[in-house]
Amino acid sequence: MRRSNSTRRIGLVPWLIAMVITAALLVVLFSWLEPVRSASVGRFGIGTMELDLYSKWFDIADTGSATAIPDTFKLTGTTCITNEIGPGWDAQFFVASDYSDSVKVRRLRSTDGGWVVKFERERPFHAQRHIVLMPADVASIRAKYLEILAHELGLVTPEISFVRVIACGRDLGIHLKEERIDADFLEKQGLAGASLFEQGHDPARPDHLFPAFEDDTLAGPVLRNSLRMAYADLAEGAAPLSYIVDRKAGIGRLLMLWLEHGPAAFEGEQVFAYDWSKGRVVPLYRHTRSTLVEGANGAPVMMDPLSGMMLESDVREDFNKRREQLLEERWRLKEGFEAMDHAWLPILANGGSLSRARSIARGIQDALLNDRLDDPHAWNSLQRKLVRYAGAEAFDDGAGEVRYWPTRDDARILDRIAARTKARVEGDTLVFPRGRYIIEEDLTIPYGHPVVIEQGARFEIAAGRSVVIQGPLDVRGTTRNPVFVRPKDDNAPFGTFAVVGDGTTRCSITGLQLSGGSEARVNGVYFSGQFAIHNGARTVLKDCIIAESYGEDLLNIKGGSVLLERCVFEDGFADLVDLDRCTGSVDGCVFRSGRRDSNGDGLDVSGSRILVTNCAFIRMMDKGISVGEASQLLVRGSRFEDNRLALAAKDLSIAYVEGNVFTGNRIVFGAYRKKPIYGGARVMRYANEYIGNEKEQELDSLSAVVPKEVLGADVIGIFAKE
Amino acid sequence: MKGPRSIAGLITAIVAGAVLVSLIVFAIILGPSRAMHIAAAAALNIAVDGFAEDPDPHHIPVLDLAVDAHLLDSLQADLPWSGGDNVRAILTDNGVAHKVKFRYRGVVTPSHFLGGKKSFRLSMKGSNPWLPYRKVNVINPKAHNLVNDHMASWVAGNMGVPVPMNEMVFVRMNNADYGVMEMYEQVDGDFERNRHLGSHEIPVLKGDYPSVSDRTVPRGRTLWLDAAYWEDAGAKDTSEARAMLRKLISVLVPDTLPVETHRDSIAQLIDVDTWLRYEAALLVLNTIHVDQYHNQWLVLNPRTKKFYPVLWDALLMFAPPDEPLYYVNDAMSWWTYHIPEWRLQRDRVAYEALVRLQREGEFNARLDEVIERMKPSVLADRNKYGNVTLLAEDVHRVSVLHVIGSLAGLRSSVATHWERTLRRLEANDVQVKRDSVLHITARSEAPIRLTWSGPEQAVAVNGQAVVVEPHPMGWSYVLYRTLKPPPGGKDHPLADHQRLDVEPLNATVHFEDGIPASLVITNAITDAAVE
Repeated sequence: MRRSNSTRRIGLVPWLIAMVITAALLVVLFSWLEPVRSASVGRFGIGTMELDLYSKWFDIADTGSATAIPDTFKLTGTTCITNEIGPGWDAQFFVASDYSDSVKVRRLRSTDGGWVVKFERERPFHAQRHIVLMPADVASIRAKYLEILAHELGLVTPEISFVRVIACGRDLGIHLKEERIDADFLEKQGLAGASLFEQGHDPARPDHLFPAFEDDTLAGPVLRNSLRMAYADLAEGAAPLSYIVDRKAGIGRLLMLWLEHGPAAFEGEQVFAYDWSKGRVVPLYRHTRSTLVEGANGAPVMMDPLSGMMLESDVREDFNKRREQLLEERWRLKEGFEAMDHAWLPILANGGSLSRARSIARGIQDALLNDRLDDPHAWNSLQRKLVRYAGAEAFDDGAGEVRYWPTRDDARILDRIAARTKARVEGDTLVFPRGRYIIEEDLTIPYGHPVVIEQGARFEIAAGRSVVIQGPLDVRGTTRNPVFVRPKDDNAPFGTFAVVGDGTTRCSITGLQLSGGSEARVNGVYFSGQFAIHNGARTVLKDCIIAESYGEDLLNIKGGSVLLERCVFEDGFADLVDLDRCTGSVDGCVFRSGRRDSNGDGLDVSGSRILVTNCAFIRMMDKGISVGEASQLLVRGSRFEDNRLALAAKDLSIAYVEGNVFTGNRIVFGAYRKKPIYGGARVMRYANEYIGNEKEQELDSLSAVVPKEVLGADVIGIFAKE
Repeated sequence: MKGPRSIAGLITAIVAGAVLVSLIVFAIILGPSRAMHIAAAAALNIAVDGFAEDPDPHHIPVLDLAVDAHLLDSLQADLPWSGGDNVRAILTDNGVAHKVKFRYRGVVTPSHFLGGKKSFRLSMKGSNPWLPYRKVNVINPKAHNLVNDHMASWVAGNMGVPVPMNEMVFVRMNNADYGVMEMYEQVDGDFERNRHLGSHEIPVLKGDYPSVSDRTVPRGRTLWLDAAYWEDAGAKDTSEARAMLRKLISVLVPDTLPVETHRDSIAQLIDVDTWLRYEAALLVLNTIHVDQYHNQWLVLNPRTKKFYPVLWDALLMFAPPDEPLYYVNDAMSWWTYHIPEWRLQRDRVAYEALVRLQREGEFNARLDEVIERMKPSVLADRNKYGNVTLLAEDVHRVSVLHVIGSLAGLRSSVATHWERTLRRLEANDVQVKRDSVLHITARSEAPIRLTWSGPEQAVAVNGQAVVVEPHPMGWSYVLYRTLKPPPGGKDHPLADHQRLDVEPLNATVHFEDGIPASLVITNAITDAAVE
């Protein structure tokens, strides 16, 4: 066959037909074919910008371009931050809709194009001292979904939102905004005083061998030693990490690792808090800022507090149970995700195709909730060989204090304690009958074993030594025949007499006379009180005299409900009674100070709801009652005499004050913001009697003392349960 | 049509002629073998490496550096002498520009400073992307396989020996690829701080060649002869460490005191467990690159107040494959071999490691993982330089084929050495005769453990009463082996390049109450029964 050599001209019509067919094809592809609309970069060898443009032109199913207006953060300064590429801070002026002030800004070291903004300590932005800004696109909605999942798993995690950032007069686009995890963040999450650390999982990296604490030089050795002992016990088949790591958070964090990274779970570094009040590591969740590359062939990972949990036999069961619970809640999670889509996708689409954004978001949802969460092999896929290389044995040199956790030996330990102290064991309970007990070494009662102290028992504790009970405590003294806890040698304070509970522990204490203690760190827990009760469910103190402390608190109760009745608290070195995150009541108690060197409060209430009735607060060098950290307090029928400041409300707290007598105080009421991450406070002042006080009130601009007429049933109702 | 063909043919002929002439000239100047090696390496680099188009993204960290050209020029003006001054540079990571100090490093080994990929050191500030590390060396790997030092570090770390952080990285310099390099931590007073073990600088002593002066490569000093030969590399106040080192060196001098006295004195100054793991690692790595003169570090542990060593520049399979079981790297290894229970502990650690690394496949699995991670970067690296002949100065371009071949060589030489060592440690060429006494003869090298139950009884070996140890099974005694230098060899802690051979065993063991029926005879290293 011969082919014509003449060039054939293609007319306008064929051109038009070709264009129409192509356009129609693109319209079909981008309007109705989900895989095309949700295609990610490089999937078909084309880039995001091209996909966005095609979607914009050809997606006729689009419900309309985004019109949502995000919050806008403007940064201005003498230098343009986009020109500053060094790691240091630059002074800038930050403007948001409800905030404007000077701030420090630096580039984020872990993400290209990200920023860290540091606000003045006294002027935090929405109670946040540091925020992190990272360039965002539609796929960044994944971080928001992960935040929802982390919340669902009970993990402490910073909130994520999306804002527009304008700097140097230029729109830098939509950014993911996240509060940086720091000490202020932890305090807001109920982890005041906790120490932050990071932990990587590469077994060949010497810097991943041990927890990397930011500031706390004490926590490192304490935790390192605990972990050394725990790893040895793990090898023997024990389950010690459940007593070092917050178990629920640990399982939640493992599940998040799977959901977020799948098989690359252990390639990044994790952030943790060490909670001194419980002696536990609390895994936190922060979405990973870079893409992790999966280690080849399931390579070994470092044995560390998180990965080590996987060796404990019942963690697997709890992990799978938690995963299944989440699966059952998948519909609700989806609803949550949809709500986030509704709120944020119009912003993240940033003027592009909203339906393409929705398609991408649906793809991410499917990957999280179907591919990962619904994977029955999730646990097995997480499994890796756990090792400690990089010369670990050379540094596990055995230095440091011994840490206790339950073992099969507990019954024998209890017997040995009984033999040593001449107490007796009744069933699982250790009973200290009437008699003298000299405690020469730290005495740690095994986990979960109740302790009963009968009337007439006298504990004499050597200097710096402590008694720590890890189960219920029943002190059965009377006013006539009390139980005594004293230092063995005068003027040589003991450490602490303490209870550490598991959240269900109950303490009933009557007729206890305790004095001469200080504070201590035992078994990885810091006790600020000479008498301390941490993490109990219910604590009752009646007819007790707690006096003469040499440490931070005379009595410190952290958590649970409390009833303090007819007790005397006197002569503390600093605060007398410190109630942290408690609910309950204080009735008929006396708080007084006769020491000139003390400078504390009578009753210090933080993050709590407390009813105080018929008490006396006398000669406190600082405050009679101090109520802070968003607490609620109702004080009625009490006397405040000769205090520097009778009652202070701080930091979003509210104090209702009715029917009290204030006599000879330098200041009656104080209301102010002490910690900048909180706001001001309120004192609701009802009818009280005021006699010979120097000054009625002292306030800052954020706080108020509000005169009120009649204490309503609504207020009484708040405290009725107490 | 003839014209162009003839022109192309002419050009081809001219180029081929030029190549041939240059090859002949170089063959005359350098010798044919050397010239061929250099030419072949260059040809392979151009011909083979160019096929690697568009490799995957890097899976190893990328070190993106910028150093002013004129500063580089000044450093390169008269290498290796001119490279030691720190100059300013910028290390960019995630868009953040970190100011760092840059200098070349390496004077003795030409592969550090010849060729297009030169080794350097970075000193970084408190905000750098490699925190907690502040000072790192980034070197042109010494072997074509790129990883023999990296893997040596991993093997030793796996055995519980302190090692510097060691990562394979891909370097970019002034917006151009510089290639795959080995980055490792410089040991200094921050060694424990880098491991989050403390917050203060600690005393560290460095045993190496003296610093360069007068454009001459310095001569090595016998480090265990004088504490003054060790340099301070850590905290400013090293008086305590120096006093301890002086004491340690004094107890390493052999005298008439019994070995036990030396053992106890040494044990007060060093962390024996760690030291024996270190000695075991030297055997497993088959290296003689840690010697009487260099590559030694002593870190004073602030918690135990004892020294521990750090493995440095060991180079996996540096020694020839037939090195003896007891090669004396330095005075400390001499004493390790002369204290029988320490020698046994070293051998047991080495054996346990070899079983894991070789028999259970940990080494090959790790090597596979490292190769997998490095693969895209090695393919992207068009700047591979290494020794192409046995002459140190022949540092020239090499190709990916050199890397592949060398990796295979490393894998096979490791397997050969480890299997051979395992066989020697496991060998039980032992004859046992029981009559009124126990006669044991052995030609294999492992010590023999006798274990029995029952009441305590007196035991004599070759007529000498010995002290038996309590054992979970009852009682135990180890028939240690005698080590001797080969004919003409020296048996002194400070002598160089020594080896010690195991003498055949011929022991008569007398049990006061007769040979216990429960007697079990085992290889003291492997615990395998020998009878």
